[in-house]
Amino acid sequence: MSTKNLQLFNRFSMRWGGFAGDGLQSTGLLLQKYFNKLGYYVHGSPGTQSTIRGGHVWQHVEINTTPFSSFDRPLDLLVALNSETIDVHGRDMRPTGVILYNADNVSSSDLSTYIEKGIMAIGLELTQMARKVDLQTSVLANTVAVGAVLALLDLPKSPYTEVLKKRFTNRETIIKLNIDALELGFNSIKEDQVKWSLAEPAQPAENYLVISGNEMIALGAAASGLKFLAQYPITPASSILTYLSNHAAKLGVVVRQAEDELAAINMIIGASYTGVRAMTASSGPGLSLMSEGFGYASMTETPLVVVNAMRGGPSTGVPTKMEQADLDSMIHLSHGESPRLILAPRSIPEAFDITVRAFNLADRFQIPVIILSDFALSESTQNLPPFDMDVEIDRGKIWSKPTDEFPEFKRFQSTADSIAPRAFPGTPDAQYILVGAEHDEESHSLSGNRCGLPESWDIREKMIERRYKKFELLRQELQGPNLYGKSDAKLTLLCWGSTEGAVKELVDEFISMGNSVNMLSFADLYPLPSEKIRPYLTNIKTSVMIEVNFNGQFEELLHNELNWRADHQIHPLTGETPTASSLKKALSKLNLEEIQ
Amino acid sequence: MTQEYDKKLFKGTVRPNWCPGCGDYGLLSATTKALSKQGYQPHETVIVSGIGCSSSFPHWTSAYGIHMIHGRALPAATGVHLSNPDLKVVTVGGDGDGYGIGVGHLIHAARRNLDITYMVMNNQIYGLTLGQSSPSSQEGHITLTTPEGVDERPVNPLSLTLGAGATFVARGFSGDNKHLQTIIEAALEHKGFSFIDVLSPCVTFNKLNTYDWFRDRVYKLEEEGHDRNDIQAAFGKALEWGDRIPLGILYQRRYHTLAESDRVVANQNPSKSPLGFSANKIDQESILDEFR
Repeated sequence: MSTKNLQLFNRFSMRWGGFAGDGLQSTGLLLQKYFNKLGYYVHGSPGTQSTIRGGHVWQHVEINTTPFSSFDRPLDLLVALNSETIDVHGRDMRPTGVILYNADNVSSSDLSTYIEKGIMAIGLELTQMARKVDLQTSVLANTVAVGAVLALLDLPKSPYTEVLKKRFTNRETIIKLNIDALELGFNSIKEDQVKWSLAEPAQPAENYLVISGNEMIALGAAASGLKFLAQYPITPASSILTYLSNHAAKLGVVVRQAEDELAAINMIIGASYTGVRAMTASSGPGLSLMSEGFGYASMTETPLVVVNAMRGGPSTGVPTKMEQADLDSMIHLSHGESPRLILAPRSIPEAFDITVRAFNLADRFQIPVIILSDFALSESTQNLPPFDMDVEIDRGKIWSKPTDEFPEFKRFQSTADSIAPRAFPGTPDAQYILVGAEHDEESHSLSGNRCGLPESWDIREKMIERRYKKFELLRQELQGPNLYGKSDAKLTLLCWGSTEGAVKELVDEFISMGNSVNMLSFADLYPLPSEKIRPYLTNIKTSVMIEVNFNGQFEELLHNELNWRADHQIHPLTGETPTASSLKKALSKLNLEEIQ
Repeated sequence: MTQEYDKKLFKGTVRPNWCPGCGDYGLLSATTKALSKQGYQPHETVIVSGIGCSSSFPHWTSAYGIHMIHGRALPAATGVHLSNPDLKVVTVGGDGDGYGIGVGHLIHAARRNLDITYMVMNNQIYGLTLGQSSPSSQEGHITLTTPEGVDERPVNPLSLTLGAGATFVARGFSGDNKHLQTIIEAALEHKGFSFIDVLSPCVTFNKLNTYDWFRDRVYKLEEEGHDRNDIQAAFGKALEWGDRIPLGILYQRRYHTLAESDRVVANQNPSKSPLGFSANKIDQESILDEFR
């Protein structure tokens, strides 16, 4: 389009800000699909509030010519649909950046401090332009702005039209209005305003998918043979319910919106008892309500998969922000001593694999499994290559008729590995009563007339040992951390769960600056596979533990099990997802000689 | 139905530990007989209960069962039923379990019209915890926790479930086992959510609402020409409590069940369908392409 010298970007970061209800998340997703179509690598991260209309929301979209692990804060472009966007996000602008603002809502005086710094400001009357296209459809202002952004980046319009057509299949009027709006915005950028160009990706992302962490969990569950999901809506877990509700018939999953989280977990206990794979998903407040049912599942050796997409706690906390503060409460969820497995996916791609593992381990070890996600992982998006969803399914031991090993059925028969086969209703000669009271091998309750009698003493001890024996076997199956970088680095950054992406980016940056830094990131948290972790820890020279909670919960776990502590800690608690830039800033305050 | 049936088919091997004379024996015996009489098999039946004296019920039968945590029998029963609609699901519990801690689920099970039977052994007292008042305790009743008498109004399980949309609402009395069994048989036969409030005297802790107290008051609806298809008449009978207490089926109607309306359950038995995409001939590409 332009022949003059354009500033060439390999990585470009933009953020859109406006009122809740402006449809920014949906525009952000369409934009990511657009860049995906062009072969770029994209990451998206939403900034939301507990507001339906009004309030302030934003959507971050970052584009790269090579694969990358996380979005970052500094902005090349800020699209401000209202003036609050400039107050909130102006501080993240690069000095070379551009603010594209809706001149109908923002006055140029709001921008003076940024213009003084050399940031370019382009005002467009987005609302009025949108009204020219259609008086009724206010969100068209976003599409007008998309047109302008594409023009600013010297990019073609037609792939966006294709994305729109797919999004609004068979809704011709909406498609037409959006195309008109796109055109109008595109043409509103004057040729002398076009200063940028995106470099072509050397190896374009071909046929990639734009997908969120929650969608990967939902797909992982469906691929694993999920048959029953019961869930109560809560941020940031709701999109699992939404995705599976919309695909229930196609995927053969019974999806029920429960009346509360108590019902949700107890419904899936009933479902699992019949032999189907069952799951629920929630966030901290819902998990608190589920705790009694969760303990029942552990006591009765009922396989379950429970997703906790963590948000800021305690109580209502910070519902739409990211935190990793539920690890302790997940380890101790429910009273008494009840074994469980906790897996924390480190990335959107891994969310699928971890979900598949969660179902297999739940069945094999007859144990409830918590998938510990968080707002950042669950609600962020990225593009990734298509993958095979035919996964290995291991249902563990199942009894359907007498065998040499198990001539008759006893649900909790003593075995070498403390795991006895399950039988499902409908199977003749295997009737038993699942019971949360302590029970004998045949699942007869000890809480009634046998309670306190000497025979019950032994059974009680045996059954506790049994549940913890399989817990130890499970520990041996789990995996140690990911090592990223050289094993002999002078500085090791440790993290778990979703912060891996940002920490990887930070390690890359330090290495490119000539520092000796590596990363250890953990997904298999509990039971902690201590013996697989120990060699990594002994190898560390100087360490910084990064986790998004106040008390250093994972570090405490490492300390309890391995008598190990980090030299330094970073606990970012603002609620905003840690990025390489924000972590670098926090690290610089530690004045470490390893990264001078 | 006069044919012979095995009255002991559903009888368990473990002896109940209820107090001698407990009303719950009446329901246990009527239920196990009704299940057998109607041709159900123990291995295809799941009996789900909550917590309380009466919730030990499944242990005294030969069926599959889930002895749940307090108040959550109905959610567990929901999961069982929707995952394998071929199973016969019977849910039981006491008034503390069903009308106190778990009453929220009762409303939702009723409005969902789950094809299950729910029977509450209502003794108007907390027995297992040795005699506190219950949500259905009569006003003025002196209990461990109400030394001057209960000062709250009792829950009305019949108007509650009628209001929630239950399609079968009945009351039985464990002092009249034959009559109770006929109600249970009708409930098991009913397609949809069938609810029975079973007056089930606690001989140890409730010295007020005794067998004799009830015998002086109960009468049978079917003997007085009650029309069970008339919901207004049913509400009228639900509100009747005092000198006269109605027994029998207050209300019954056919309405589509959740298993009939659920997009998945209506077409398959989830517990019998294979696992994984290729086994179900699900086109992976069409799933993935939505993300482009």
